[in-house]
Amino acid sequence: MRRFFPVLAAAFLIVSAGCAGRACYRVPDEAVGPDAVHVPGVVAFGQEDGRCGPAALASMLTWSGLDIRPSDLEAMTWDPDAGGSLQASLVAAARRHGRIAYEIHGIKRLEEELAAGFPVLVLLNQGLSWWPAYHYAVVASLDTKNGFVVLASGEPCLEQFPFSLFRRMWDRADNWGLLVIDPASGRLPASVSPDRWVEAVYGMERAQQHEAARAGYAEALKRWPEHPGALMGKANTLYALGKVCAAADTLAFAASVHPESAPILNNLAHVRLLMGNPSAALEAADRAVAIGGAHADAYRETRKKIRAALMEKESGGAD
Amino acid sequence: MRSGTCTKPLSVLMLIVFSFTVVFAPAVHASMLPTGTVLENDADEIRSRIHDMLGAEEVQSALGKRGISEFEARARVDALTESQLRALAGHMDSQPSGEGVGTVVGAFVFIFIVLLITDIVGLTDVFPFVVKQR
Repeated sequence: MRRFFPVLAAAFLIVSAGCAGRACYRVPDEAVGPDAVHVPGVVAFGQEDGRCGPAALASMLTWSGLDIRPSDLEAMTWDPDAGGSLQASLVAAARRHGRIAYEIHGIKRLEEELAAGFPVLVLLNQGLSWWPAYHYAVVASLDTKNGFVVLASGEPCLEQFPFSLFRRMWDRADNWGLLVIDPASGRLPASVSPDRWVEAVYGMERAQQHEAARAGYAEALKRWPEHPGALMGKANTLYALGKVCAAADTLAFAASVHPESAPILNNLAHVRLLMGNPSAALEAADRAVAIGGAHADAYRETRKKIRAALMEKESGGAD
Repeated sequence: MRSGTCTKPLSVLMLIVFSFTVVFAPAVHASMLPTGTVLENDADEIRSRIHDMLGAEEVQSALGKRGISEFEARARVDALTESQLRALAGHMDSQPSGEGVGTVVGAFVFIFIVLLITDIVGLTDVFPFVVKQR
């Protein structure tokens, strides 16, 4: 995986984010008509000098309840050499702030998510397909009937754009959108799918946001109580937070509903060993080894470690 | 053996690119496995994602330059096994882009697909899971 970072870096050079400035027309929340799907409370930040990525992400994070400025996000998201921000770095920055970054695609999803009360960060191409000028903005409302969108688009207030123009600019940038969600808010995207939600939460876990990830997995388990990824993730975050007993309970339940999942059994073996129960640990490890699969080496290592602990215990008992 | 004379330019490029990178051999430790090990990548979904990418004009022109028709490329993707697709998805998911081809991310995936295809026809050897044509 690591060896692809240079390719990624090469891809970075393709960013030529124009982030062009325009006149600013203030659109107060109450001015949006009854036909619009409108998300109130979206704050627009004025961008400085090509920094549309940090400005758009700051709007999203502010909406999600954080007190943050575009300048706070520059180091994480803005590359001065490229003069722009990668989509991947915006996703990563949201996760590093303990927020779920959930990607969406296409106009139908955009409408659904706005209707569900989520603003959507979008990548626009203000140029041509063969001469792109990329720009990030946040969609706060959409009125297809009257043909306009309201965006936080790099000016210190919300702006109204013709829907047809927005549609073309979004199309030229592959209709990519991003939701930024506080996992403790108890809200899920309208288009939520169990696997994609859990993947998004896992991204946050990888960003070391264990408390936020725990909340995200808990939210998943409210809806899908037996989702293997959510159970494993909950256990792993509990473990990372030092709650070994709770992790063991979760893994025991996970193993009972997914007896075929070797990674779950492997981790169950570990926590059981840690809790001083090597014989129960060995039982789980044996089952993991018997199932085998992609991580068979890891399961055998686990069993080896448990056997060593058992032998130590037995020899200790014989003395 | 005439060294160098039959080296393909792309291989040289990739050699240069990858020579700056560190490949970590995953050491096997007895430890907790990460959550990602139970997240299932649906092979059919991955396959259709790759097919979507192959539909893009720039991918097709890049393949055309290498003498590979779109039909041929699609046939090869269909020939990949479930586990090969998962390995492929593992690389793709090192990019957080969950669906579709983001513009910037798309460039990365594009390079990736070109590599995959050239790997299959035996020009390069970047992906160990690809069975070479003889």
